[in-house]
Amino acid sequence: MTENATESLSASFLECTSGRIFCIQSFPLHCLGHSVLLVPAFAEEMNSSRRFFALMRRQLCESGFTVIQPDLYGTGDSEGTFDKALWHNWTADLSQLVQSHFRDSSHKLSVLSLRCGCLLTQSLIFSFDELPSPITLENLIYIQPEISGYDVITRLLRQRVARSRLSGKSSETTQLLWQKLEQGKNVQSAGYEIGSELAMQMRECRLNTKKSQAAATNQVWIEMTPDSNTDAITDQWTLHRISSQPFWQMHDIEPVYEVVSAITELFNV
Amino acid sequence: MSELPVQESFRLVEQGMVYPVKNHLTVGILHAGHELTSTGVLFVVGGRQYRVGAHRQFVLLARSLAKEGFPVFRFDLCGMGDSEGDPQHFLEMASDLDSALAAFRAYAPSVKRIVIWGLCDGATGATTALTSLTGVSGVMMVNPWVTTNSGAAKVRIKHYYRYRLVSSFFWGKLIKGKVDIKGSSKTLLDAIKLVILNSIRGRAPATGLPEIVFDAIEKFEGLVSIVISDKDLTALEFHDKYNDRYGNSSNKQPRFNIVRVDADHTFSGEGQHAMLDEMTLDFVRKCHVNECP
Repeated sequence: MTENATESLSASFLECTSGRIFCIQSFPLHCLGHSVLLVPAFAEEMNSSRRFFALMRRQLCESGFTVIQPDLYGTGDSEGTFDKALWHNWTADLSQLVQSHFRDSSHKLSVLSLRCGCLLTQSLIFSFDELPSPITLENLIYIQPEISGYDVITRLLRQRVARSRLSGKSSETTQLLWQKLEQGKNVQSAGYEIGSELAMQMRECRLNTKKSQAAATNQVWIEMTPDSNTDAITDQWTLHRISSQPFWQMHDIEPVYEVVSAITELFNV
Repeated sequence: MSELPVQESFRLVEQGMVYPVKNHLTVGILHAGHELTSTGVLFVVGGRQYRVGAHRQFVLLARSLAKEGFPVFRFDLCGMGDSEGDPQHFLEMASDLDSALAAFRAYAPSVKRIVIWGLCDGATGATTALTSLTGVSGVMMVNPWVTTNSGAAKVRIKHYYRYRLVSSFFWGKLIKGKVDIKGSSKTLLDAIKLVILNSIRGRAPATGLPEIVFDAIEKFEGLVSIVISDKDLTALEFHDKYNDRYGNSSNKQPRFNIVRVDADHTFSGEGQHAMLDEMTLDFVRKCHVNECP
């Protein structure tokens, strides 16, 4: 990639519904009049995919897109702690960013979401129904989407179960931990304190592409690993396969330049 | 020492910034702390993490320090996280540290002395860059990385396999046939072979990196705190090397404080973060008092 293709880069905190939300924004030298909102993955997958999103942001910016990359409340550099995070507030914060975008600029808007970020984007799109004027996105691109919020939380709980078994305390199960969450108790796993309310809200989330099928002009579902569940796909979506390691789970940074270029090609300008 | 005033409204004084390192734009976060505090803390991230850290470890530690009044700066090395450029070797971070300190001091002018807090190869890289940095009064090395092939093999035999032999979980898996006996045996035999070969050849098991790190902290005149997690093989390797060098009473280094704690590499277990938070605050306060009697 060439240097200095980005006209400017800003790293700032924005006042949103939940609190001060950290946001990286890249502004291109040759602006297309088109912005892209990046919606991150969940917990450690967000950390592991940070470099991917940075490269994605840079590549999109080189192609003329303005890029907006927020950290959700209680994650990344944003205000708050993870145990206080709420799915509804994450949705409200993203909605606020989208509304600010349309209020302050005449740019088209696209959304690029990774893993659990796709579930959150669906909630965001549903929230558009409550707005006074309709919002249509240009591109809606999901990368290896999570299908169920329940599965996302269960996977995180499983790390605690594995750890307790390794240390000889094998009585914990994911079912028992879910019961704790249902009783309003927080559960700590792999360094994250999972708030009961967040878990209950995420349990209700399931990807339903039928309901969000008219949200964007161009809707692309990217499958990267063979184990992904594409049953939820409908005719309004284009399935696109890009072969890649699951970089969102990897501790080492793999060069993902080819993946980034392939995804950039999928954007309708 | 003047008492540090508690910053009640610290939520309002976290600030994002973009600054150059060579030709690359780099992203950092300043936690302002109290405007008059003269000791600041620079976090140096290790491994493949970015400035936030695993399960937000660095964000939470930084907020805790800022609440006590200490300004803190977290940043992405070139090629990591949000920063531009290609990833570089951890022994080549001097320019990054120099630029981060310049940005830190520009936005927190009260800061006269720096405590460097590093994890894993972030600790190792920062320590070896100390000679090119000014105003550093203390270094906190958490699970420092000095891994060599032969050192890793020794540690694996000494700590990991010994643990497996007494682990009921391991025996349970073995009985249920869920252990890859062939693969595990090969790994163990490879490790033993490497250690024996090095011993026969008379090759010192630790050459290079451990010596570079120990030479660097010996030359450094400030305070050094080293934290070793018992559930982290790379940290235990550092500890073995440390004992090789400083185990005899004649070689003891009173300036170095080394502690072993019951934790994993990133302190992700219950109560482990709070323990690290307390140790960090204690060390930074000590550095502050040391410089401001």
